[in-house]
Amino acid sequence: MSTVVIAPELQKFLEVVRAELSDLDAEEQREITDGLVADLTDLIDDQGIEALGDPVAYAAELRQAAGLVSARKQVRERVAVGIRVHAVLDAAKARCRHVLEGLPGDVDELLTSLQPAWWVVRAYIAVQSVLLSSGGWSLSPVPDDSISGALALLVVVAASVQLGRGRLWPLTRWSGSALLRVVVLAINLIAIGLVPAVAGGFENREWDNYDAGYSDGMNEATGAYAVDDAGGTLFASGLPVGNIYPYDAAGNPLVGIQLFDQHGNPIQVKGKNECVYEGPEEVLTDTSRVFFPWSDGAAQRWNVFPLPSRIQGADVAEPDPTAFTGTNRPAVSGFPFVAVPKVSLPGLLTSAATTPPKAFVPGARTEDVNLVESGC
Amino acid sequence: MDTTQLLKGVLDLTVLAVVEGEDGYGYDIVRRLRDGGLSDVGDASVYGTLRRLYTAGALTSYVVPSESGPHRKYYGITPTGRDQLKQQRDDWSVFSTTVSTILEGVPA
Repeated sequence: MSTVVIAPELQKFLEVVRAELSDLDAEEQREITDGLVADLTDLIDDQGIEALGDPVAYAAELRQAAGLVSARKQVRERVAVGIRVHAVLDAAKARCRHVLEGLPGDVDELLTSLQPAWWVVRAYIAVQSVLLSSGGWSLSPVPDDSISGALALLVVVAASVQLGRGRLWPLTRWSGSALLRVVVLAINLIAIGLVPAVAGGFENREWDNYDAGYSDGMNEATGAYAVDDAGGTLFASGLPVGNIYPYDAAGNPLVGIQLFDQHGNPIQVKGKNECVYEGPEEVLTDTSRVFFPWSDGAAQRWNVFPLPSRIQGADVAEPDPTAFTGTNRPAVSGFPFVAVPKVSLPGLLTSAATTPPKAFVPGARTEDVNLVESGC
Repeated sequence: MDTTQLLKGVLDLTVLAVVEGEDGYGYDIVRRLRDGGLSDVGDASVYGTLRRLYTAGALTSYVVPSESGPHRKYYGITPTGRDQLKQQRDDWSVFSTTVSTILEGVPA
C-alpha cells in the first residue's frame, strides 16, 4: 500500500509545509513533520493526490493543533504588549497631569520646564552612584575630585540630556518603543531612589574631614608625627616636649647631652618659643622665651640637651645666631629639679661626668610653660 | 451546524480514546476517528494534536521502519494519558448530560 517513491506533488506540498513552519526551532520542526510523509502517503493512497489540499492551511492547522505559536504571531503579540504598556503609562501620565492641573500656579508647566534640569541631575546621580558603589563611601562635588571624573560627568550629562530629548544614538532606533519608555522610567525611578545614597555620600565627606582631624590627633598623641619638617616635635604623654633635662645616675643635672634613637637618628626637640607672662597678674608681655640649638661647628644640633634659651622680643621668631656674642646670651636653665634620686643596676657602671656650676642657671623656672609657634 | 468548533473541544479526548484502544500511527488514527463518525476531522488537526499530547507526556511514540515506504511514527498512551483520558471522559459525561438536559427542557 505504501509507495517507495514520494510523489512530486507530495514533495512540493511538504516543502511548503516545512517552509511555513520554518520559524519553529529545529527540534520542534522535526517533531511535527516526522512521520508526516507516511501519513500523507497513506492519505494519497486512500483519497488521491487532490486530498492534499492547501499546504499553507495544512501547516496552519498542524501548528494550531500542536499548540505551537508562530514566531510571526509572537511578534504581533509583542507589539500588542507594547501598545498595552503605552496605554498604561499614558493613563498614569494623564492621572498625574490631572492632579497637577488641580494645583495652583501651573505646576505642570513648571515641572515640564524643569525637565532638562532633571536630565542633568540624574546624570550626576548616576556618576556619583557608580563612584559610591565602586568602593568609595564619601563623595566630592566634582566626581573623584579629578579631571577624569569631571569628564565622565560631562559625557554622562550629555548622554542623559540626549536621552531626555529622545536623540540618544543608537536608542533613536527604538524611539517610541514601549520597552525604551519603560527603561527610561526605570532609570528615572532608580535615580530618584539613589538620591538618599548620594546625599549620604556627601555627608560622609564631612566625616572624612573629621576623620582626617581625628587621625592627625591620634598621630600627634602617639608620636607618629615625631619628626616634622622643622626638625621634629617630640611628644610625651600627648604633650609636645619643649626641652629635655637629663640627669646622671647620681641624680645631678647634665648639660650638653646628645641624644640619638636606635637608628642613629638624632632625637630632636626644636624648642618652640614660649610666651612670657610677667607680674603678679601674669600679664602677657611682648617678649618670648626663644630656644637655641647647639652646634657641632658646621650645623645646628637640635638633639643636644638641654636647649639653651633666652627671653627676647616676640617679633624675632627664629633664634638669632648672633645671640651668643651679645649681652643677652642664651643660657641653659629651667632644670625642673635641683637633683633627682640616684639610679643604679647591679653590676652596671655609669658615666661619671662633672657639670661645672656655671653650665646652667640654677633654680626652677618662674614662668609658666606655654609653647607657641611664633609670637605671643 | 458546523461541527469544527465542537470537534476542537473534544479532539484531545477522542484521540486519547482511540490510541488507548490500540497504538496507531497518524493516518491510522485519523481513519479510526472518521470511521467512528467524526468524518469532518482534519488530518493536520489530528497530527498536531498527537504531537501536542506527546509533548505533554500523555502519549509515547516509536518509529516503525517500513521496507516499502517511509517509516511510520506510532503513538501509544502513557499512564499520564490514561489519567487525562479518565478525567476528560468524566468531564465530557457531565458536560454532555448537562447540555442534553438543557436542550430537552427547551420547548421546540
